[in-house]
Amino acid sequence: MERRTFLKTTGAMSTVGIAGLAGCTGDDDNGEFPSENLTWMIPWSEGGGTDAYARQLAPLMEDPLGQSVQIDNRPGAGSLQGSEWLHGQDPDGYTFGTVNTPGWDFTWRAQEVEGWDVEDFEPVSYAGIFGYTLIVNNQHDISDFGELRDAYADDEISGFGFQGVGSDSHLGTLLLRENYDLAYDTAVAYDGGGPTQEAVISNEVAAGFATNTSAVAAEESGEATAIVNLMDVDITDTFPEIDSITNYGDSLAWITEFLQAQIAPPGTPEEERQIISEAVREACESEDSQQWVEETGNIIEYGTMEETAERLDGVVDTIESEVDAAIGGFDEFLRIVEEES
Amino acid sequence: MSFAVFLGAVEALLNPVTLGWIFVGIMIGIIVGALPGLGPPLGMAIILPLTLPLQPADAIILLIGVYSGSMYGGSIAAVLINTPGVSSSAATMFDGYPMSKQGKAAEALSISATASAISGLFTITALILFSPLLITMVLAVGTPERFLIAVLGLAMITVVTRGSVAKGILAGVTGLLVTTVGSAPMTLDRRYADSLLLFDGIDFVAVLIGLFAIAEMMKLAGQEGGIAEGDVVIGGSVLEGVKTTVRHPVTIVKSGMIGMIVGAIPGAGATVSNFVAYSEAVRSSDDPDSFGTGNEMGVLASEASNNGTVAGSLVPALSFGIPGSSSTAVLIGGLLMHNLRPGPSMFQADGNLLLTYTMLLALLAGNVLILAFGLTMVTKLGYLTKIDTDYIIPMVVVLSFLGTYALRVNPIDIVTIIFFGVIGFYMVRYNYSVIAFVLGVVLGDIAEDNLYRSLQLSDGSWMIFINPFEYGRWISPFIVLAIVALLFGPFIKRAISR
Repeated sequence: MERRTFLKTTGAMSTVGIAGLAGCTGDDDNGEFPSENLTWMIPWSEGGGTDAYARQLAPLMEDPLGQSVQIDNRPGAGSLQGSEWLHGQDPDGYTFGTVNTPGWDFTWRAQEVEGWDVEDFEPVSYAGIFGYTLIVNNQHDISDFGELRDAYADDEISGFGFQGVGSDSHLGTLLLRENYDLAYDTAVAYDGGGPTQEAVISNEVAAGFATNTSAVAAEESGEATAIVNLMDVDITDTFPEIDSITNYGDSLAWITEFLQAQIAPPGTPEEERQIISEAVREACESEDSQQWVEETGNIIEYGTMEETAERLDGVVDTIESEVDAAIGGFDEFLRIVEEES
Repeated sequence: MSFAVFLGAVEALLNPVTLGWIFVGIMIGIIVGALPGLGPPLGMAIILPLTLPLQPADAIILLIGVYSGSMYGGSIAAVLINTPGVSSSAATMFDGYPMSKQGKAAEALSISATASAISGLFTITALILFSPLLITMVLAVGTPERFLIAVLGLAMITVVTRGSVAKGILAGVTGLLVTTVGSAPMTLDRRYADSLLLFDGIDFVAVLIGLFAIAEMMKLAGQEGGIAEGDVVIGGSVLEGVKTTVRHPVTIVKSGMIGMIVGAIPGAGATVSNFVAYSEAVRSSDDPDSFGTGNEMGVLASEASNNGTVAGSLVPALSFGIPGSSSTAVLIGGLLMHNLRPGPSMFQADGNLLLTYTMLLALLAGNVLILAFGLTMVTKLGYLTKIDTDYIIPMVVVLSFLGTYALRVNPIDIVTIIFFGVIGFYMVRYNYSVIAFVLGVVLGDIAEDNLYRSLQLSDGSWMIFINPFEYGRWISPFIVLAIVALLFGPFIKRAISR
C-alpha cells in the first residue's frame, strides 16, 4: 500500500472510530443533561407508600426533564438491598433513589451493614413526609394517650402491635414504655403496617403503630381510631381530634417522622442533582399532585438539595445519642429486643 | 343486598366504555399472568398512574380486571411449560403439565378457562349475597388461626404424597428448612444470611420455577421431539374440557369456596388456597394415585380456587382497607388515588355500594370474557407442546431466568432456580414428593411467623389454639379438629373397617 493511501485510510478509520466512540459515550447532545431516560430506584415493593409517591411524581417530572423517569423497584432487607445497589451505580445523574430517613439510617445501623455508609450518598431533594401515629380499637372507647396509658395500667386492655422486630417502631414501642409510661402487657411484632393495622382492627391487640396514611384507612374501617400523633408535623387537617405525644414528654420525631428523600450515588455531580431536584419540585407543586394529596391524605413537601443535605447530615449520630440517652445505647436496645423476643 | 343499587350497578356496567376497560384489564392480566415472574402486583402498579384520567369506577375495574385476568393467565405457562406464571397457579402444574405431555394441552387449558370462569362467577355472586358474613369472618380469623391453617396445609402432605410416606415427610421437612434461610421473622437472628442478598430468605416462586421449569427442561434435554411425548396426537378437545368441568360442580364449588375463604384471610392468599384446594381434591378422590399424572381434577381444583381467591381477597381490602397481598395493596392505592376510602361504606347502600356492585359485576363480566377468550384463543396454544425441544428448552430457560430475576431483582434468585432445578430433577428420579416439598416451602414462613406471634399473644400458652373460653378464639378448635381428622382419619377408618 502506498504511504499516501495508508495515511488516508487510517485517517478515515480514525475519524470513524472517534466518532463511534463519541457515540458510545452518549454525548450526542452537546453535554445537555439529561439526554436519556432516568431510573428512579425504590427500595420497596410495588404498591407500598414510597412506591405510590414515586409513581405519582415520576410522570410529572418528565416535562421539566424532557426525558422519562422509570421506576425500578428493588425491595429487600428493609430497603438496604436497593440502597446497596444504588451505591454501586455510575454517578452520572441518570440513577437516583428514594430512602425514608431516619428509618433507613436506623435499619442500616441496626443491621451493622458493612461496605457502604448512609452518609456516602449525595442529597437531591425530599418530596414527602410521613410517620407514625397510634391507633386504638374502637371497642375500648379511648380518645387520647392519657386514657390509653390508664387503660394499660389498669389491665383493661391487652396487647400492643408494632411493625417488625428490631425496627424503628420496635424502638418506639420500647421508648413509649420507658419514657411515656405506656405499661402494655405484651408487645407483638407484625410483619409490616398492613398486618399491624389489621390486628388492631380485629382487636387482636388493643392498640398499635400505624403510619398517618394507613391510619386514615383504619379510621375509615369504622373499627379503629388514630388517637396520638407521634410526629412533630401537624396532621390535624386529617385527624382533627388527634392528641400529640409531645403533650406527655419530649418529641419522638427523631425516630417516628420520616422524610422521603431522594439521593444519588456517591460522586454524582451537583449540577445533575440540581436538575433532578428542580424536576421534583415542579412535580410536587403541580396541580395534579396537590389533588392527589387531598384525595389520599399523603403529605407532599418539597425540600431543596441544601435542605435535604441538612436533614440527612448526622442522622445516625442523632439516633445513637438519643438511644443512648433513652435506653443506654444501641447495644442495650438490641439486648432488650433479644431478651423480649 | 340492596336491589335498587344492584340495578344501578347493572346499568353502569352496560356502559360501553366500562365494558371496554374490563376487556383491556382482563387481556393485560392474562398476558402479565402468563409471563413467569411478572405477577399481578407489578402489572397493576405499572397501570396505576395511567388510571388517573379515568372515572373512578373505570379505573378500579381496569385494575381488578388485571388482577382477575392474571389469576387465569398463570395457568397457561403452568400447563404448557411447567412454569407457574403466577405463584397461585403452582398446583395447576402438577396435573396440567402431564396432560400436555399426553397431548391434552388444549383440554387442560379448556378446563382451566372453564373452571376459572365458573368459580369466578360463583364466588363473586356469593360475595354479593354474603358479604356481611365474610366481613365478620375476616375479623374472627387472626394470628392463631393462620398458624393452624398453615399446619392444616402441612398435614396435607400425608394426603398428596404418593408412594413412600417417609420420603414425603422428608421432602416436606426439607421444604420447611428452606424457609428458615434469611432474617428470622420474629427475632434478630440472621440465618445463613451474611449477605444482604439472602436477608429476605429464598424466594419461594424462584424455588417453584427451579423445581418445575428448570428440572423439566433438564429432563426434556434428553428427549427427542416436543413436550408432548413421542407420537401423541395433539387432540384434547376443547369441548371435552368444558364437559369435564361442568360434570364436577361439587369440586368447582368446593375449590372456589376454599379459594374465597382462604383469600379473605390476609396473609394467606391464592398460593395457599391453591394447594389446599388441590390437596382436598386428592383427598376426596376415589383415585388419588392418578393425581400428578394428568388427572383433570387437579387442574380444575387449582384453577377454581385461585379465581375464587380474587373475590375473597376483596373483602378485607374493601371493608377494612387491609391489604392481604401485594395485589390488593396496589388496589387500595388505586381506590385512594380516586378518592375512594376502603371501609364499611363500600358495602353500605348509602355509601359506595353502587361502586362495589359495579366492580363485582365487572368481575363477573370479566369471567365470561376469560371463558370466551380461553376457549377460543388460548387453547390453540396447545400446539406449542409439539415444537421441538431444541427450540422450547432455550425459550423456557431464558424466560425462567428473566422472570425469576424480575421477581425482586435479586441475583440470588438465579442461583436458587439453578440449585432447585437440579434438586427437582433428582427428586423426581428418586421418587421424592415434589408437592410435599413445595407445601413445606410455601407454608413454612406463615407457620413460623404466626406460631411465634400466637405464643406472644398468649404469653407462651399453647392453649390459645384449643381453649376458646379463655382466649375467645372460636374458630381455632375446629381447625385443630380438621388437622387431627386429616392426620388420623385414615388410620381410624382402617381400624373401624377391620
